[in-house]
Amino acid sequence: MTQTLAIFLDAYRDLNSRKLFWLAIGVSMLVVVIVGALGIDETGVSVLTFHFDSKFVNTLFFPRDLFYKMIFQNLGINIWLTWLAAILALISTASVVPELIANGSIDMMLSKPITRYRLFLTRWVTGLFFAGIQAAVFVTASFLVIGFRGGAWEPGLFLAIPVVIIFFSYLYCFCALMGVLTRSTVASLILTLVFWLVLFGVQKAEQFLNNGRIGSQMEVVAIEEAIEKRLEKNADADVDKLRAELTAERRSAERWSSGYWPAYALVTALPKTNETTEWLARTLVRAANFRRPANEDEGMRFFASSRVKRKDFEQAVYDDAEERKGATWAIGSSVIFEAVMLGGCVWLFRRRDF
Amino acid sequence: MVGLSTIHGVTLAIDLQDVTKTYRGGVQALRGVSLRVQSGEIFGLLGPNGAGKSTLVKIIMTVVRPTALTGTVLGRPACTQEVLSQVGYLPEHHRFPQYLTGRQVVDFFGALAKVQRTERKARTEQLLEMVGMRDWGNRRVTTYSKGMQQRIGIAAALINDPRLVVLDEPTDGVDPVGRREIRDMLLRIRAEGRTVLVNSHLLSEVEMLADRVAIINQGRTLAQGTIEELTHESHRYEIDAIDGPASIRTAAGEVIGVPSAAEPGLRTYVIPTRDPAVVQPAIDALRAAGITLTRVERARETLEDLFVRSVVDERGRAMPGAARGPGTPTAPPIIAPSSTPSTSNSSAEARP
Repeated sequence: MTQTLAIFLDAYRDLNSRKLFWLAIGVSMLVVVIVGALGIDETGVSVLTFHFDSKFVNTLFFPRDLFYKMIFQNLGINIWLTWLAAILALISTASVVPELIANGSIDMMLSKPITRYRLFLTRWVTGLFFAGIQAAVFVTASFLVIGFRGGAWEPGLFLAIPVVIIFFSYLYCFCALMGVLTRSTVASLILTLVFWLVLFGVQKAEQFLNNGRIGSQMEVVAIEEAIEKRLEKNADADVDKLRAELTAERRSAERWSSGYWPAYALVTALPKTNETTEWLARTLVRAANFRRPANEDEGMRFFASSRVKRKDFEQAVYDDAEERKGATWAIGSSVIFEAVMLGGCVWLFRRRDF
Repeated sequence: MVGLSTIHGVTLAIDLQDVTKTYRGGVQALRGVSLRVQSGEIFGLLGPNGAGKSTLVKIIMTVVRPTALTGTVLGRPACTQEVLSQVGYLPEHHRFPQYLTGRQVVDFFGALAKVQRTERKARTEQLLEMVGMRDWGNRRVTTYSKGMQQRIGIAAALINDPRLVVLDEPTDGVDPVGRREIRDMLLRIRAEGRTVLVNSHLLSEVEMLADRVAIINQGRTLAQGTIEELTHESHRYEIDAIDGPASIRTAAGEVIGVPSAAEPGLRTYVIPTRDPAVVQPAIDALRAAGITLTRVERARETLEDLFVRSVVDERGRAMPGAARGPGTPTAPPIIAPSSTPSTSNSSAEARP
């Protein structure tokens, strides 16, 4: 325990000495203060003492608490914690492993009675400190803003802290592996950002193919229903045309499916950064009375049609995510990937001569 | 001391045999090094660059994994975690966390060595006092000179009250005053009953400090023992005489006089003995011949002479077509018998 506490205290001192750490905490607080300075009433929004009339942004459309919750979700989680703050955290912590294994530093560490795997994993966990402290500060401040300004006290909000830490750990385990392999902070940081970009691309591709698959299947069902209606009305001429459409749409659905399942398998094997964030958004609907996240993706329009309404299509995509993309899939399988990465790190670290 | 290896009744802090290390790519850093460090002594590990000294030290400290090794450190299997709590280490190019003060560095490594907080605080103050850094303890290590960093490093190496202290080039980059202070610290550490293993390039310093030394080259132990033991065969008397005869007779036989390297016109007679009685007939013979003697001196190799001779001999043996005749067997390493009177009973080190 003495050793673990010492490593954590050292990590704190390390973070404390880095300006970027305090910058990130400062920006987090600034974001929350700005949100707290916003107000909403029946006629519009206000910033401090300045009031702006609005027909669309007022408490008639958005209850007060929902206004702040939406800001927390869209700005706080989707942009700040899972993008900008995560990048700042990576920049600040990418050096942890390369500095640990630098000549002169590692000699001193390994000459102490601490096993290599424990030393490495403890040091790695301290790297998560950054994301953890940042998320904790931001979420706590947001909890207070939503409580005092929005009038809703939602302890479920704190679920965001562990989820953000887990989200960060997907990237950080890869960063650690690159640190062990390259011994370079810059190289491990750049490779991690590239990896993140690849993950983002793969997940977006999977989501696109899934939307296509669901949209096409809904189209097939809608045509089948249309054929049944025509048959009930004995409108045979229309039926032949619809049957031709049905055949074409079924082929299209098969193509979407055949493209989708390999992408799904690939995403399942990889850490799911987007999916974890989306799982959090869905979970906050239940845990903290958030509004169901609206899908503002313009691509959704592409999959809607005269037969399949966009609203129904979005509901189907949401239900599909709820059914198949729960915590076990989004987080569990990502953690397995993370465990494999960390296992690789520890294996290399234990075997290496320094 | 209970638990330590003993040989000839001498307790050994480090008792390693046949240490080999082959790095990936086939580079053989160590080819069967043996090392015996007696408890409570300062032991100097010497060797040219690339000899394998640092690799050996790193193996002892578990920083590098040996390819093969048998033996013990402080009576426990070498290269295991359990022994490390009783060992202090200062690596050659150490790098302390830049955000820490000297006091925090000592405290941090104490905690990693599992020293409890109360004891750590007291020992930190005591050690900072000992290394002369008490007034500088609250400054960041980045503001320290090389000498100050070495002092903090020595304090950090001692924080766990170790029985064995391993120092890799402790005076590297330190000015002469600082080197002397570090030497004094090492003597104090030995006086406290600890064993000190010093890896150093600075032969004169090792000669001043070390009770025993080992010379390593090309991954092999070339010599091991006290400096007195290792230079035993080099004891001699040198007689300088003006216009002496080509040869003189001593009790040990005829000795050839050669022109003095120091002063033309003088002839130097080297009589390989430490017995003054052997020299007297030569002196008598020279004086009887009316020769003026300018110097009669007892001499022996310095550590530097020994080091250079050992390394050059080894290089000569390693080089194809060296001075040895074909088929000449490789000379065994110069390993002095233990200084204790009892006879050797076991090992490869028993070779004269």
